[in-house]
Amino acid sequence: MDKFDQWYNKKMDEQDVAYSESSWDSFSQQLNQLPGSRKRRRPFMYIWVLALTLIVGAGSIFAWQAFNNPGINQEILISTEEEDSNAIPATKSESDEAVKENNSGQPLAANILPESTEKSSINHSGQSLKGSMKERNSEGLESSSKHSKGKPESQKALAVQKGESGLISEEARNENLVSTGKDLKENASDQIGRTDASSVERPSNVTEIKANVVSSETSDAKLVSSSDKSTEIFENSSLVADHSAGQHVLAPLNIEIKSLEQESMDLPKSALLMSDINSMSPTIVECCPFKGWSHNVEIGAQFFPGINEGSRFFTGLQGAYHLQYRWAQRWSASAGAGVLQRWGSFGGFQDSPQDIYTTTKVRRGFLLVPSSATYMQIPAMVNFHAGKHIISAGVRTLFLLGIKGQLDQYQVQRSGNEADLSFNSNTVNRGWINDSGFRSIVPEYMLSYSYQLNKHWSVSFSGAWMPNGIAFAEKTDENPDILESLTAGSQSSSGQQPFLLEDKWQVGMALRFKF
Amino acid sequence: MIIIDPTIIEGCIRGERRAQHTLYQACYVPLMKVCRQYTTDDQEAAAYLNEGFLKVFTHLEKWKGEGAFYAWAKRIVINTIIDGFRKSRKYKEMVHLKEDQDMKAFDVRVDLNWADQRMDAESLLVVVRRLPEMSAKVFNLFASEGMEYREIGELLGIHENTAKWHVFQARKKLKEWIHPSTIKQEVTNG
Repeated sequence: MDKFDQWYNKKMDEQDVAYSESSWDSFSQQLNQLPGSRKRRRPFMYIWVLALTLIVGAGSIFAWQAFNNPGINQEILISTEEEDSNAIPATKSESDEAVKENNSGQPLAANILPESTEKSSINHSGQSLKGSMKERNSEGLESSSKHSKGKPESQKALAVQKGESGLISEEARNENLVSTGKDLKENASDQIGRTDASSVERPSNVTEIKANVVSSETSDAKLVSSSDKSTEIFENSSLVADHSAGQHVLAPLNIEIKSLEQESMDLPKSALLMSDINSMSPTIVECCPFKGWSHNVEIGAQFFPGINEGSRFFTGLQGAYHLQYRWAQRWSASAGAGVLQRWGSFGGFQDSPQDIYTTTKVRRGFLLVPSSATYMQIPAMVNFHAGKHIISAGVRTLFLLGIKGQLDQYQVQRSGNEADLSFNSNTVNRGWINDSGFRSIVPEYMLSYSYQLNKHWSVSFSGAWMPNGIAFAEKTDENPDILESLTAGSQSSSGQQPFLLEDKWQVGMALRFKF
Repeated sequence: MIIIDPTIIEGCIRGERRAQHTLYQACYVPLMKVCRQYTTDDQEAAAYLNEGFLKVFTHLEKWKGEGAFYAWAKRIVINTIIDGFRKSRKYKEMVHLKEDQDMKAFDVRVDLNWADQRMDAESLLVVVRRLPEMSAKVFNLFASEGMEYREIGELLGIHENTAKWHVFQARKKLKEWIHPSTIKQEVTNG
């Protein structure tokens, strides 16, 4: 190494430099703006905690409802098919009453198999014992007293022993054949319905009977599925025939089998026997079926105008859970919570310029450029329902969780009288940045229109206006021009200059799922 | 030689402000000296120093503990200065080429003992800062950092021979300016 170079190095080491605390202060400010600092990563965690809380909360509500209302499905079934449900008497006495009123002089006692007499069963022609639970549960016990009157005794009824039940099988029913049991089905084809009841095997148990009933008709299935009560009826019912009386299965009978709905239609209101229904199923909501709580989850896109980049729209995504209570046919209120993420260089720039004088004037600094904001949203709306159309108005409050952006380092030079300018900028880092300059709570007024696509899905279009904007400073027509300020600038400056480059309104659309 | 406690580095990685402050304090003086060599005034040096420190703290996790921390940090700070210089180089060259045309190239022999007694570090720094920026950078990289012409050329985006010429020019001018007659002339003018 050259001796001069050695001397130069020795002299450079002797420089008189002292530590400057002000330099640290300046540096720590830059350090605070550094993206990706541990402190700024927390909002990301909050998002997941919030989402998890929403999911767990919604799940808990459903679980609680299911626990408290185990028969809710039956209630819905009954309430939506009101006449069906009303047509289901549950007790023998009620059935009798219904029969007495509708059977025009044919006492139920006669129809319902008095013991030790000629045993008949229930007519399925729809003329008697309509709507009786017993009748439905013992559809197979085909043998109408009405039919039996003008026919040979052997053809009058299906004879079954006490404790047994003669059933019409599906096939037999289709062929208008009557059988007294499972095996009778097989014999029926050979004997053309003339089957000796004595040859019928006794059904092994009530469950088997029930199974046969279930297979008979869809509408019956509703009743059978309602509870084990049907089984009980079979066991205790007098709907049994005395097999010893020697009744035989009749020839093919012209039995009109009505659907449950049709039968129910025929039943007058006076026959609506609800007391036992109430005992075996949850309370039927007769009035105000619309009243109650509902849960909605929505996800949607939002669009914001970009003032600083022409007419370009910036976008956002939002997801939310809404709990809705409907207190009137046309009115409901909803509130919820969710997350809103919006992208775009929407303002809140923070500049930390520093002027340096060498042979020329140089401005160097850091520019904090936010690119996305994450909010927790709490909407509260009042909804007006008109058929499939819903109009909502309300307030949405946004709570700032964090700002993401980038830290740009720039350098601008101007050479006094010369027009030569140079501007250099490069991104130092990206990530969560200091959110000073942004409002932590932003209220919005919202108006939206929703269209119900089907029972669960709806699509909505909304507009929102925020009175204060998302940043503290108002939008300025004259955006701070770095080059301009350099020309007329002071010797040195530092600090933050937040300004807003976004408008106060936004539009959006969302897809909503109702549980 | 500056030795940094590894626990301080770990604290800085965790984002602990006290550890960052300690590291900043420990490295400030030597790194500031380096920055002053490469820059034309103390404000610019301070700006580059903080910029370099910012990069050091940002990329602290990438330092694997191999070698001295100070050497690693110093290299980052120098690279930061060189990056800044390269960005503004076009303009500055234009300015300084004009100055260069006014310079009279002559070679002088300097009595280093005499210069050592008469010139302190600050005076020498003033002289160095009068050098054309490119020449000053190249000379510092060559004389202080011990880099070879090829490395300097790659770093600054110039040819190896150009780097060599800059070192020669810088050395010649420094000798010229610290020559007794030159100093005497400046004092008289002052």
